[in-house]
Amino acid sequence: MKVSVKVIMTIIFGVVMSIEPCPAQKKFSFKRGKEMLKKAKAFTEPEKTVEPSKPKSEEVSKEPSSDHHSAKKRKLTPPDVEEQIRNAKSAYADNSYTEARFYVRQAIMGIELKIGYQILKKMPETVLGHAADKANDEVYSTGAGFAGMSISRSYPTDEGTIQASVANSSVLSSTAQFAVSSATMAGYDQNTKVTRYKGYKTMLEVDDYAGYKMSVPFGQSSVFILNCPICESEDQLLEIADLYDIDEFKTLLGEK
Amino acid sequence: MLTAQDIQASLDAAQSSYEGDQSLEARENLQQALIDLNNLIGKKILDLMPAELGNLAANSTEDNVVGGTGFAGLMVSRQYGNSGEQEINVNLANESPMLTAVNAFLSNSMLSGMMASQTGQKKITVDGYKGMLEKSDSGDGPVTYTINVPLGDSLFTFESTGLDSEGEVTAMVQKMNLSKISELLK
Repeated sequence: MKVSVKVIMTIIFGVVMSIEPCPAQKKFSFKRGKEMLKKAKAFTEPEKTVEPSKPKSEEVSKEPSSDHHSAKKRKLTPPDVEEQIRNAKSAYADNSYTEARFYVRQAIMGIELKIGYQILKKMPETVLGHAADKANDEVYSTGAGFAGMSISRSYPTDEGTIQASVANSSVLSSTAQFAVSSATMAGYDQNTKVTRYKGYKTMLEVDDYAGYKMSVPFGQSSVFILNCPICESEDQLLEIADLYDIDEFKTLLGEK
Repeated sequence: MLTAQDIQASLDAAQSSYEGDQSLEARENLQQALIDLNNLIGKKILDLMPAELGNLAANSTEDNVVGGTGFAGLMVSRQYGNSGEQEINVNLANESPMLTAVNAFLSNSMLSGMMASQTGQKKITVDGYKGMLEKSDSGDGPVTYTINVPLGDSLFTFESTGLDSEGEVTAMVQKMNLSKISELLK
Protein backbone atom coordinates (compact mmCIF):
# COMPACT_ATOMS: atom_id res chain seq x y z
CA MET A 1 0.00 0.00 0.00
CA LYS A 2 2.75 2.35 1.03
CA VAL A 3 4.72 1.49 -2.12
CA SER A 4 1.77 2.16 -4.44
CA VAL A 5 1.13 5.57 -2.86
CA LYS A 6 4.79 6.36 -3.28
CA VAL A 7 4.63 5.24 -6.93
CA ILE A 8 1.58 7.39 -7.67
CA MET A 9 3.09 10.45 -5.97
CA THR A 10 6.36 9.93 -7.81
CA ILE A 11 4.59 9.61 -11.17
CA ILE A 12 2.56 12.79 -10.59
CA PHE A 13 5.62 14.70 -9.46
CA GLY A 14 7.63 13.40 -12.40
CA VAL A 15 4.99 14.37 -14.93
CA VAL A 16 4.57 17.84 -13.42
CA MET A 17 8.29 18.41 -13.36
CA SER A 18 8.73 17.44 -17.00
CA ILE A 19 5.68 19.26 -18.37
CA GLU A 20 5.86 22.48 -16.35
CA PRO A 21 9.50 23.30 -15.70
CA CYS A 22 10.08 26.43 -13.67
CA PRO A 23 11.58 29.02 -16.06
CA ALA A 24 14.56 29.70 -13.84
CA GLN A 25 15.35 26.05 -13.31
CA LYS A 26 13.73 24.51 -16.35
CA LYS A 27 16.76 22.50 -17.45
CA PHE A 28 17.29 21.10 -13.99
CA SER A 29 13.60 20.46 -13.45
CA PHE A 30 13.21 18.70 -16.77
CA LYS A 31 16.10 16.34 -16.03
CA ARG A 32 14.83 15.83 -12.52
CA GLY A 33 11.36 15.07 -13.87
CA LYS A 34 12.76 12.47 -16.24
CA GLU A 35 14.72 10.86 -13.43
CA MET A 36 11.60 10.69 -11.29
CA LEU A 37 9.66 9.07 -14.14
CA LYS A 38 12.44 6.52 -14.55
CA LYS A 39 12.27 5.80 -10.82
CA ALA A 40 8.52 5.31 -11.03
CA LYS A 41 8.98 2.99 -13.98
CA ALA A 42 11.47 0.96 -11.99
CA PHE A 43 8.87 0.51 -9.23
CA THR A 44 6.18 -0.70 -11.62
CA GLU A 45 8.33 -2.75 -13.99
CA PRO A 46 11.24 -4.03 -11.94
CA GLU A 47 11.62 -7.24 -13.92
CA LYS A 48 11.83 -5.63 -17.38
CA THR A 49 15.22 -5.66 -19.02
CA VAL A 50 16.63 -2.32 -19.86
CA GLU A 51 16.62 -1.60 -23.59
CA PRO A 52 19.66 0.00 -25.13
CA SER A 53 19.28 3.73 -24.92
CA LYS A 54 18.47 5.69 -28.04
CA PRO A 55 21.09 7.80 -29.71
CA LYS A 56 21.80 10.96 -27.74
CA SER A 57 20.91 13.26 -30.62
CA GLU A 58 17.40 11.85 -30.85
CA GLU A 59 16.85 12.30 -27.14
CA VAL A 60 18.09 15.86 -27.22
CA SER A 61 15.82 16.74 -30.10
CA LYS A 62 12.80 15.76 -28.02
CA GLU A 63 13.75 18.04 -25.18
CA PRO A 64 12.47 21.59 -25.33
CA SER A 65 15.11 24.00 -26.47
CA SER A 66 16.42 26.49 -23.95
CA ASP A 67 14.59 29.25 -25.87
CA HIS A 68 11.31 27.38 -25.66
CA HIS A 69 9.94 29.58 -22.88
CA SER A 70 11.81 32.80 -23.64
CA ALA A 71 9.12 35.46 -23.84
CA LYS A 72 8.95 37.63 -26.91
CA LYS A 73 8.87 41.33 -26.15
CA ARG A 74 5.56 42.56 -27.46
CA LYS A 75 4.65 46.20 -27.78
CA LEU A 76 1.41 48.05 -28.26
CA THR A 77 1.20 50.85 -30.74
CA PRO A 78 1.32 54.32 -29.15
CA PRO A 79 -2.00 56.19 -28.80
CA ASP A 80 -3.12 57.93 -32.00
CA VAL A 81 -2.47 61.56 -31.05
CA GLU A 82 -4.82 63.17 -33.57
CA GLU A 83 -7.66 60.87 -32.52
CA GLN A 84 -7.01 61.55 -28.83
CA ILE A 85 -7.07 65.33 -29.38
CA ARG A 86 -10.32 65.04 -31.37
CA ASN A 87 -11.82 62.95 -28.55
CA ALA A 88 -10.62 65.46 -25.96
CA LYS A 89 -12.25 68.32 -27.86
CA SER A 90 -15.53 66.53 -28.21
CA ALA A 91 -15.55 65.43 -24.54
CA TYR A 92 -14.80 69.00 -23.52
CA ALA A 93 -17.62 70.32 -25.72
CA ASP A 94 -19.95 67.85 -23.92
CA ASN A 95 -18.77 69.16 -20.52
CA SER A 96 -17.23 65.74 -19.77
CA TYR A 97 -14.11 67.23 -18.24
CA THR A 98 -12.69 64.08 -16.69
CA GLU A 99 -13.10 62.31 -20.02
CA ALA A 100 -11.38 65.24 -21.77
CA ARG A 101 -8.55 65.03 -19.24
CA PHE A 102 -8.11 61.32 -19.94
CA TYR A 103 -7.81 61.94 -23.70
CA VAL A 104 -5.38 64.85 -23.21
CA ARG A 105 -3.13 62.58 -21.15
CA GLN A 106 -3.32 59.89 -23.82
CA ALA A 107 -2.39 62.47 -26.47
CA ILE A 108 0.61 63.63 -24.42
CA MET A 109 1.64 60.02 -23.97
CA GLY A 110 1.37 59.45 -27.73
CA ILE A 111 3.61 62.43 -28.48
CA GLU A 112 6.16 61.46 -25.85
CA LEU A 113 6.34 57.90 -27.12
CA LYS A 114 6.86 59.22 -30.64
CA ILE A 115 9.73 61.45 -29.45
CA GLY A 116 11.12 58.51 -27.48
CA TYR A 117 11.23 56.27 -30.54
CA GLN A 118 12.97 59.04 -32.51
CA ILE A 119 15.64 59.24 -29.79
CA LEU A 120 16.09 55.47 -29.82
CA LYS A 121 16.68 55.63 -33.58
CA LYS A 122 19.58 57.99 -32.92
CA MET A 123 21.25 55.65 -30.44
CA PRO A 124 24.03 53.37 -31.72
CA GLU A 125 23.21 49.76 -32.54
CA THR A 126 26.48 48.41 -31.18
CA VAL A 127 28.79 49.53 -28.39
CA LEU A 128 32.26 48.03 -27.97
CA GLY A 129 31.17 45.32 -30.39
CA HIS A 130 28.10 44.43 -28.33
CA ALA A 131 24.77 44.62 -30.11
CA ALA A 132 21.84 46.50 -28.63
CA ASP A 133 19.06 44.36 -27.23
CA LYS A 134 16.53 46.25 -29.34
CA ALA A 135 13.67 43.98 -28.31
CA ASN A 136 14.05 45.45 -24.84
CA ASP A 137 14.29 49.11 -25.85
CA GLU A 138 12.25 51.09 -23.35
CA VAL A 139 10.19 54.22 -23.87
CA TYR A 140 8.21 55.22 -20.83
CA SER A 141 5.77 58.08 -20.53
CA THR A 142 3.30 58.91 -17.79
CA GLY A 143 1.19 60.96 -20.16
CA ALA A 144 1.13 63.71 -17.60
CA GLY A 145 3.98 65.65 -19.03
CA PHE A 146 5.40 66.64 -15.70
CA ALA A 147 6.26 63.26 -14.28
CA GLY A 148 8.22 62.86 -17.43
CA MET A 149 9.42 60.34 -19.87
CA SER A 150 12.41 58.06 -20.07
CA ILE A 151 14.06 56.19 -22.90
CA SER A 152 16.66 53.48 -22.54
CA ARG A 153 18.61 51.00 -24.60
CA SER A 154 20.78 48.21 -23.26
CA TYR A 155 23.73 46.29 -24.68
CA PRO A 156 24.08 42.99 -22.85
CA THR A 157 27.55 41.45 -22.48
CA ASP A 158 28.81 38.45 -20.55
CA GLU A 159 30.29 40.72 -17.88
CA GLY A 160 27.36 43.07 -17.46
CA THR A 161 24.96 45.29 -19.37
CA ILE A 162 25.88 48.64 -20.82
CA GLN A 163 22.88 50.94 -20.62
CA ALA A 164 22.15 54.33 -22.13
CA SER A 165 19.15 56.34 -20.92
CA VAL A 166 17.62 59.70 -21.63
CA ALA A 167 15.13 61.14 -19.16
CA ASN A 168 13.04 64.27 -19.60
CA SER A 169 11.17 66.17 -16.87
CA SER A 170 11.61 63.30 -14.48
CA VAL A 171 12.98 62.83 -10.99
CA LEU A 172 16.16 61.50 -12.60
CA SER A 173 16.81 64.72 -14.51
CA SER A 174 16.23 67.02 -11.55
CA THR A 175 18.43 64.84 -9.35
CA ALA A 176 21.23 64.96 -11.93
CA GLN A 177 20.83 68.73 -12.39
CA PHE A 178 21.14 69.16 -8.63
CA ALA A 179 24.09 66.80 -8.37
CA VAL A 180 26.24 68.61 -10.93
CA SER A 181 25.32 72.05 -9.73
CA SER A 182 26.09 71.31 -6.10
CA ALA A 183 29.37 69.52 -6.72
CA THR A 184 31.26 71.84 -4.43
CA MET A 185 28.70 71.53 -1.65
CA ALA A 186 28.49 67.78 -1.57
CA GLY A 187 31.22 65.70 -0.05
CA TYR A 188 32.24 63.82 -3.15
CA ASP A 189 35.03 61.29 -2.82
CA GLN A 190 37.59 59.91 -5.27
CA ASN A 191 34.87 57.82 -6.91
CA THR A 192 32.79 60.81 -7.98
CA LYS A 193 33.71 63.91 -9.91
CA VAL A 194 32.11 66.66 -11.92
CA THR A 195 33.71 67.58 -15.19
CA ARG A 196 32.75 69.06 -18.56
CA TYR A 197 31.83 66.88 -21.50
CA LYS A 198 31.13 68.60 -24.83
CA GLY A 199 30.36 71.75 -22.87
CA TYR A 200 27.92 70.06 -20.49
CA LYS A 201 28.61 69.75 -16.77
CA THR A 202 28.88 66.03 -16.27
CA MET A 203 29.08 63.75 -13.28
CA LEU A 204 31.37 60.74 -13.49
CA GLU A 205 31.12 57.94 -10.98
CA VAL A 206 32.84 54.63 -10.50
CA ASP A 207 31.87 51.73 -8.32
CA ASP A 208 33.57 48.36 -7.84
CA TYR A 209 30.41 46.50 -8.71
CA ALA A 210 28.44 48.79 -11.04
CA GLY A 211 31.46 50.07 -12.95
CA TYR A 212 31.55 53.49 -14.61
CA LYS A 213 28.60 55.83 -14.88
CA MET A 214 28.18 59.28 -16.40
CA SER A 215 25.24 61.63 -15.98
CA VAL A 216 24.94 64.59 -18.33
CA PRO A 217 22.10 66.98 -17.54
CA PHE A 218 21.14 69.02 -20.61
CA GLY A 219 18.58 71.67 -21.42
CA GLN A 220 16.29 72.69 -18.61
CA SER A 221 14.96 69.31 -17.62
CA SER A 222 16.73 66.42 -19.34
CA VAL A 223 19.56 64.07 -18.57
CA PHE A 224 21.63 61.52 -20.47
CA ILE A 225 22.91 58.63 -18.35
CA LEU A 226 25.42 56.02 -19.45
CA ASN A 227 26.21 52.98 -17.30
CA CYS A 228 29.17 50.88 -18.31
CA PRO A 229 30.04 48.00 -15.99
CA ILE A 230 32.62 46.61 -18.43
CA CYS A 231 34.55 49.81 -19.09
CA GLU A 232 38.12 49.71 -17.90
CA SER A 233 38.76 53.43 -17.75
CA GLU A 234 37.16 56.86 -17.83
CA ASP A 235 38.54 57.31 -21.33
CA GLN A 236 36.75 54.23 -22.54
CA LEU A 237 33.51 55.49 -20.99
CA LEU A 238 33.90 58.84 -22.76
CA GLU A 239 34.70 57.05 -26.00
CA ILE A 240 31.37 55.26 -25.77
CA ALA A 241 29.60 58.49 -24.82
CA ASP A 242 30.84 59.99 -28.11
CA LEU A 243 28.55 57.56 -29.93
CA TYR A 244 25.52 59.41 -28.56
CA ASP A 245 24.63 62.82 -29.96
CA ILE A 246 23.37 64.70 -26.91
CA ASP A 247 22.78 67.87 -28.96
CA GLU A 248 20.44 65.93 -31.20
CA PHE A 249 18.56 64.52 -28.20
CA LYS A 250 18.26 68.10 -26.98
CA THR A 251 16.70 69.20 -30.27
CA LEU A 252 14.31 66.25 -30.36
CA LEU A 253 13.15 67.03 -26.83
CA GLY A 254 12.68 70.71 -27.65
CA GLU A 255 15.15 71.74 -24.98
CA LYS A 256 16.92 75.10 -25.09
CA MET B 1 -10.57 81.00 -12.38
CA LEU B 2 -9.69 80.34 -15.99
CA THR B 3 -12.20 80.85 -18.70
CA ALA B 4 -13.43 77.95 -20.78
CA GLN B 5 -11.90 79.45 -23.91
CA ASP B 6 -8.43 78.84 -22.51
CA ILE B 7 -8.87 75.08 -22.62
CA GLN B 8 -10.56 75.14 -26.00
CA ALA B 9 -7.78 77.37 -27.35
CA SER B 10 -5.08 75.04 -25.99
CA LEU B 11 -6.75 72.01 -27.56
CA ASP B 12 -7.15 73.82 -30.90
CA ALA B 13 -3.53 74.92 -30.81
CA ALA B 14 -2.39 71.39 -29.95
CA GLN B 15 -4.35 69.98 -32.86
CA SER B 16 -3.01 72.44 -35.40
CA SER B 17 0.57 72.11 -34.08
CA TYR B 18 0.42 68.35 -34.33
CA GLU B 19 -1.05 68.48 -37.82
CA GLY B 20 1.77 70.86 -38.73
CA ASP B 21 4.29 68.29 -37.46
CA GLN B 22 5.16 70.46 -34.45
CA SER B 23 4.99 67.67 -31.88
CA LEU B 24 6.79 69.56 -29.13
CA GLU B 25 4.54 72.58 -29.44
CA ALA B 26 1.52 70.28 -29.43
CA ARG B 27 2.84 68.68 -26.26
CA GLU B 28 3.18 72.06 -24.55
CA ASN B 29 -0.36 73.04 -25.51
CA LEU B 30 -1.70 69.72 -24.24
CA GLN B 31 0.16 70.14 -20.97
CA GLN B 32 -1.46 73.55 -20.56
CA ALA B 33 -4.87 72.08 -21.37
CA LEU B 34 -4.25 69.38 -18.75
CA ILE B 35 -3.44 71.94 -16.04
CA ASP B 36 -6.52 73.97 -16.93
CA LEU B 37 -8.75 70.88 -17.00
CA ASN B 38 -7.46 69.80 -13.60
CA ASN B 39 -8.26 73.23 -12.19
CA LEU B 40 -11.71 73.20 -13.73
CA ILE B 41 -12.53 69.72 -12.42
CA GLY B 42 -11.16 70.66 -9.00
CA LYS B 43 -13.34 73.75 -8.86
CA LYS B 44 -16.43 71.72 -9.82
CA ILE B 45 -15.65 69.22 -7.06
CA LEU B 46 -15.37 72.04 -4.51
CA ASP B 47 -18.75 73.36 -5.69
CA LEU B 48 -20.30 69.97 -4.88
CA MET B 49 -19.02 70.02 -1.31
CA PRO B 50 -21.32 71.58 1.32
CA ALA B 51 -20.65 75.11 2.53
CA GLU B 52 -20.83 73.94 6.13
CA LEU B 53 -20.74 70.75 8.16
CA GLY B 54 -22.70 71.00 11.40
CA ASN B 55 -21.55 74.25 12.95
CA LEU B 56 -18.26 74.24 11.04
CA ALA B 57 -18.22 76.56 8.04
CA ALA B 58 -16.00 75.98 5.03
CA ASN B 59 -12.88 78.08 5.20
CA SER B 60 -12.95 79.02 1.53
CA THR B 61 -9.62 80.83 1.65
CA GLU B 62 -8.05 77.41 2.30
CA ASP B 63 -9.74 75.78 -0.72
CA ASN B 64 -7.06 74.32 -2.86
CA VAL B 65 -6.79 72.65 -6.25
CA VAL B 66 -3.47 71.29 -7.39
CA GLY B 67 -3.32 69.72 -10.79
CA GLY B 68 -0.86 68.86 -13.44
CA THR B 69 1.79 67.11 -11.41
CA GLY B 70 1.81 63.69 -12.99
CA PHE B 71 2.77 61.75 -9.89
CA ALA B 72 0.00 62.99 -7.70
CA GLY B 73 -2.56 63.79 -10.40
CA LEU B 74 -5.35 66.10 -9.33
CA MET B 75 -5.68 67.08 -5.67
CA VAL B 76 -8.55 69.01 -4.14
CA SER B 77 -8.76 70.06 -0.53
CA ARG B 78 -11.13 72.01 1.72
CA GLN B 79 -11.05 72.87 5.38
CA TYR B 80 -14.08 73.28 7.66
CA GLY B 81 -13.75 75.29 10.88
CA ASN B 82 -10.62 77.10 11.85
CA SER B 83 -11.01 77.61 15.57
CA GLY B 84 -8.26 75.15 16.28
CA GLU B 85 -10.48 73.11 18.60
CA GLN B 86 -12.69 71.48 16.03
CA GLU B 87 -11.62 71.12 12.45
CA ILE B 88 -12.34 68.96 9.42
CA ASN B 89 -9.99 68.55 6.48
CA VAL B 90 -11.34 67.04 3.30
CA ASN B 91 -9.05 65.83 0.56
CA LEU B 92 -9.56 64.23 -2.80
CA ALA B 93 -6.46 62.84 -4.48
CA ASN B 94 -6.50 61.39 -7.94
CA GLU B 95 -4.11 58.45 -8.36
CA SER B 96 -3.21 58.52 -4.69
CA PRO B 97 -0.49 56.07 -3.63
CA MET B 98 -2.69 55.23 -0.61
CA LEU B 99 -5.40 53.74 -2.84
CA THR B 100 -3.88 50.27 -2.99
CA ALA B 101 -3.66 49.95 0.79
CA VAL B 102 -7.21 51.19 1.37
CA ASN B 103 -8.62 48.96 -1.37
CA ALA B 104 -6.75 45.98 0.09
CA PHE B 105 -8.34 46.68 3.48
CA LEU B 106 -11.81 47.02 1.99
CA SER B 107 -11.68 44.03 -0.32
CA ASN B 108 -9.94 41.55 1.95
CA SER B 109 -12.22 40.65 4.84
CA MET B 110 -9.49 38.70 6.62
CA LEU B 111 -7.19 41.72 6.53
CA SER B 112 -9.94 44.13 7.58
CA GLY B 113 -10.92 41.76 10.42
CA MET B 114 -7.34 41.58 11.66
CA MET B 115 -6.83 45.34 11.44
CA ALA B 116 -10.16 46.01 13.13
CA SER B 117 -9.09 44.03 16.17
CA GLN B 118 -5.54 45.39 16.26
CA THR B 119 -5.75 49.01 15.16
CA GLY B 120 -9.35 50.03 15.54
CA GLN B 121 -9.91 50.50 11.82
CA LYS B 122 -13.26 49.44 10.48
CA LYS B 123 -15.38 49.39 7.36
CA ILE B 124 -18.22 51.85 6.93
CA THR B 125 -20.49 52.88 4.05
CA VAL B 126 -20.60 56.48 2.86
CA ASP B 127 -23.28 57.39 0.36
CA GLY B 128 -23.24 53.79 -0.88
CA TYR B 129 -19.43 53.61 -1.15
CA LYS B 130 -17.30 51.38 1.05
CA GLY B 131 -14.91 53.29 3.27
CA MET B 132 -12.36 52.79 6.01
CA LEU B 133 -12.80 54.54 9.35
CA GLU B 134 -9.91 54.96 11.74
CA LYS B 135 -9.92 56.51 15.18
CA SER B 136 -6.84 57.97 16.76
CA ASP B 137 -6.91 58.93 20.42
CA SER B 138 -3.62 59.45 22.15
CA GLY B 139 -5.34 60.40 25.41
CA ASP B 140 -3.63 63.76 25.87
CA GLY B 141 -4.80 65.41 22.65
CA PRO B 142 -7.96 65.78 20.60
CA VAL B 143 -9.56 62.69 19.08
CA THR B 144 -9.03 62.29 15.35
CA TYR B 145 -11.23 60.33 12.98
CA THR B 146 -10.03 59.57 9.45
CA ILE B 147 -12.33 58.18 6.80
CA ASN B 148 -10.89 57.02 3.48
CA VAL B 149 -13.21 56.24 0.58
CA PRO B 150 -11.87 55.06 -2.80
CA LEU B 151 -13.74 56.59 -5.75
CA GLY B 152 -12.42 54.88 -8.88
CA ASP B 153 -8.81 55.96 -9.26
CA SER B 154 -9.19 58.70 -6.63
CA LEU B 155 -9.10 58.60 -2.86
CA PHE B 156 -11.44 60.73 -0.78
CA THR B 157 -10.16 61.47 2.73
CA PHE B 158 -12.18 63.07 5.52
CA GLU B 159 -10.29 63.87 8.69
CA SER B 160 -11.87 65.36 11.77
CA THR B 161 -10.06 66.73 14.79
CA GLY B 162 -11.72 67.49 18.09
CA LEU B 163 -15.04 65.78 17.34
CA ASP B 164 -15.59 63.11 19.96
CA SER B 165 -18.57 61.26 18.59
CA GLU B 166 -18.08 58.69 15.85
CA GLY B 167 -21.77 59.02 15.00
CA GLU B 168 -21.42 62.77 14.49
CA VAL B 169 -18.44 62.30 12.18
CA THR B 170 -20.05 59.56 10.08
CA ALA B 171 -23.21 61.67 9.75
CA MET B 172 -21.11 64.62 8.51
CA VAL B 173 -19.26 62.63 5.90
CA GLN B 174 -22.58 61.48 4.41
CA LYS B 175 -23.19 65.12 3.41
CA MET B 176 -20.14 65.29 1.17
CA ASN B 177 -22.04 64.42 -2.04
CA LEU B 178 -19.74 61.52 -2.85
CA SER B 179 -22.01 60.07 -5.55
CA LYS B 180 -22.01 63.35 -7.45
CA ILE B 181 -18.26 63.80 -6.99
CA SER B 182 -17.70 60.25 -8.18
CA GLU B 183 -19.92 60.89 -11.20
CA LEU B 184 -17.80 63.91 -12.09
CA LEU B 185 -14.62 61.89 -11.82
CA LYS B 186 -15.80 59.10 -14.16
